[in-house]
Amino acid sequence: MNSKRIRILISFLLVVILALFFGFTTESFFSASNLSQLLRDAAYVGTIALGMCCVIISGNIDLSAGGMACFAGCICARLALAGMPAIVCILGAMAIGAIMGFINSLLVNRLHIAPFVATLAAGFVYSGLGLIFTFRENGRIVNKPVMNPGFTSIAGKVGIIYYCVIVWIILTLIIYFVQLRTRFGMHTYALGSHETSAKMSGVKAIRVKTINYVICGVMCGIAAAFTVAYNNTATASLGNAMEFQAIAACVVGGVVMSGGSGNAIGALLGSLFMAMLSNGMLKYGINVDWQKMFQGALIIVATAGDAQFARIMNARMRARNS
Amino acid sequence: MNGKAKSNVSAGVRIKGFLGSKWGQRAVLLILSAIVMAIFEPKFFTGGNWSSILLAIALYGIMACGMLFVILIGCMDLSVGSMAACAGAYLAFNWVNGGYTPQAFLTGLLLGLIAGVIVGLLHGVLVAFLNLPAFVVTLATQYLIYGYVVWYTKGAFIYPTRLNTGGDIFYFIGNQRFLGLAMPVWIFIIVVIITAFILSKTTYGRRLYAVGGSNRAAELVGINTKRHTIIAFIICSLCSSLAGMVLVSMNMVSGCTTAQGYQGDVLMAMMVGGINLAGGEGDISGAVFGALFVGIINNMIILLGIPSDYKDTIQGVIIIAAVAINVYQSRKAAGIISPAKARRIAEKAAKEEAAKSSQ
Repeated sequence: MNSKRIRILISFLLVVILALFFGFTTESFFSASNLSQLLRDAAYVGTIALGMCCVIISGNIDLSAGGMACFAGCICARLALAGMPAIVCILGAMAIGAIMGFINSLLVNRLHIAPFVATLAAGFVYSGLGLIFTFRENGRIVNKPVMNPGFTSIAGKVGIIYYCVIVWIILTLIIYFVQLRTRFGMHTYALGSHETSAKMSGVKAIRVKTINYVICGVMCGIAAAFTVAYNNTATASLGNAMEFQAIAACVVGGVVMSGGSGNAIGALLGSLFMAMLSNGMLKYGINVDWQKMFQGALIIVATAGDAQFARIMNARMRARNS
Repeated sequence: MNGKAKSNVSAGVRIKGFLGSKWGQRAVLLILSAIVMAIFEPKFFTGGNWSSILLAIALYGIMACGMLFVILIGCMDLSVGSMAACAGAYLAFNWVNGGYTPQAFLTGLLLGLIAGVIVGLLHGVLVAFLNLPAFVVTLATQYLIYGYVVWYTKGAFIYPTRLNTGGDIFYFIGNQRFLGLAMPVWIFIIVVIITAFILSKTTYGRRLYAVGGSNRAAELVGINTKRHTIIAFIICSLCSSLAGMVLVSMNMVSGCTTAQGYQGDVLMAMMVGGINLAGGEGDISGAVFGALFVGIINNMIILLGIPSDYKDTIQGVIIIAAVAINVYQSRKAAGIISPAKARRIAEKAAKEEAAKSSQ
C-alpha cells in the first residue's frame, strides 16, 4: 500500500470515527433530517474545497474563495430577482466565478505576485464588490427574499438528498477523473511537486495554473448559487471565512499545502469531516466561536500531522530501498 | 564645456533618478494625495484632522514595526488583528473588574504582553521547527484567538468608564497629550526608535536580513535561523498586543471586533512601504511611510464621503498595485525577464542576424 492510499484511508477513518463518536454520544445525529442537513452543509464547503484542492495541488493557494463566493452569490441573487430562469442564474454565477479565477491567475502569473498575497488582496476586492452589490433600501442592507420559484427550486431535494449534494459528488468524481486520468491532471501534480523541473520537462505552467484558478472560481460560483437558492437571499456574509473552512477541509483530506499531493476524494472526505464537526459540536451546545477555535487548531494540527506523516513515509521508503 | 554638458545631463538624470528611487516615489504619492485632498476637501489640512490621522498612523505603525520583523525573514503574520483584540480585552477586562486600581492595570498589561509572547512563540515554533507555511499557521491562529476573545469577553463589549480622579492610567495611554502629541504617537515613536536600533545596530537585526535573504545560506554560515524566526514572531505579536491595548484605551471600548481587519491595513502599509515579501529587503522607513500612507488613505475615504463598503475594494486594489510595482522593480533589478519577452528578443536578434547575413 503506497503512502497516498494510506493517507486517504486515514482521512476516511477520521470521518468514520467522528461519525461513530457523534452518533453514539448525541441523539438524532443519524436521523434522516440531520444527515440531510449535514450533507448539505458539507456540499457547500465541499464544492469550494474541491476548487481549492485543484489550486493547492498545483502549488498555489486561493485565499479569495470566500470573496468569490460572496460576489458570485450577490450577482446570482440579482439575476434571480430579475426573473431569470434557474439555469441562467447558475451559469451567471459560474461565469462571474470564472472571471474572478482568471483575474487571480493573471495576478499570479503575469504580475508575479506571491499567490497568497495576490489572492488575499483580491479577496478583499471581491468581498468588497459583494458588499456593494447586496440589496439595499435607503442605503441600508436588507435581507431581500429572492422571489423566483424557478431558481429557488434548485434548493429542493430527492428523498433526503439535496440537489447540491448530488452536484457536489458528481463534480468530485469528474475532478478526480481529470486529476488521475488526464494529461492536464498529471501536469498539475508535476507543477505542484517541483515547478522548475516541471517547466523544464515541457509543462505549460501558466496555462495549467490558470485553468486551476478558473476551476476554483467556477466551484465558488456553483456553491454560492446553491446557497443563495437555499437561503433565499444573498448577504455580504455569504462567503465569510469560507476559504478558511475549505483549506481546513483540504488539509484534513490529505491535500498537502506545498502542493503536488492529495486528490478530490480527499477534499470530499475533509469537507465531510468539517461539516460533521460543526454539526456535532452544535448538538453538544458548543457555539460558533468555539467552533472557529476548533477549526483553527484543527488546521494547525492537520498541517503539522501531515508534515510528520510525510517524514515517516519517507523514512519507510528509504529503509525499504536500502 | 565638457563639464557644463555633464552637469546639464546630470540634472535631468538626477530628477529621473530621484523619481525612480523609493524616496522619490514616496514623495510623489504624498504630493498626489495632497493635491487630491486640496481640490476636493481642504478640511484635510486642518490640525484637528491631522491629530486624528496621527492616531491612526500610530496604531498601524506599531503593528507595522512588528510585522516588519516577520516579513524580513520571509514569513507573514495574518493574526495581528486578533492578537490586538486579545491583548485589548485582557487590559480592559482586568481594569474594569479589578476596580480601576493600578494593580489591575498592571495585571492586564502583563497578561496582554504574556499572551503576545505565547502566541508569537507558538507561531515561531510551528514555522521554524515543523516547517509549516507561516500564512496557514497565522490564518488558523487568527480564528483561534478570535474565538478565545469571544469566550473571554463572553461576546459582550467592555466599556471602561473614565475616572475623573488623577489615577486613570487606562485613559492616559490612549488619550493623554504630551508636548502637543497624543500618547499613542509617543509610543509609536519609541517603538520605531527601538525597531530601527534593533534592525540596524544589533547582531540580531543584521542577521535577520541574512535569514530572510536565504535561510539555507544563513544556516550554513552558522546563524541559528530557528531562534531568529521565533524571536521575530514574538516581537510581531508583542507589537500587536501593544497596539491593541493602545487602541482599546483610545476608543474606551473593547470586544471581539476590536482591530478587526487590521491585518489588511498593516499588509497594505508593508506593501506600500516597499517591504519585499520574499524577505531580506526593507527597512524601518518603509514601515513608517506605509503606516503614514494607510492613515492618509483611510482618512481620505472618510473625508471624501466614499461609503465604507468601498474601503475593502480600494484596499485590495492598492495592495495589488503596490506589490505588482515592487515585484516589477525587483525583477527588473535582478535582470529577470519573462519567457515571452525573451522569445521576442531572441526573434528580433535572429531577424537582425538574418538581415546582416543576407546583405
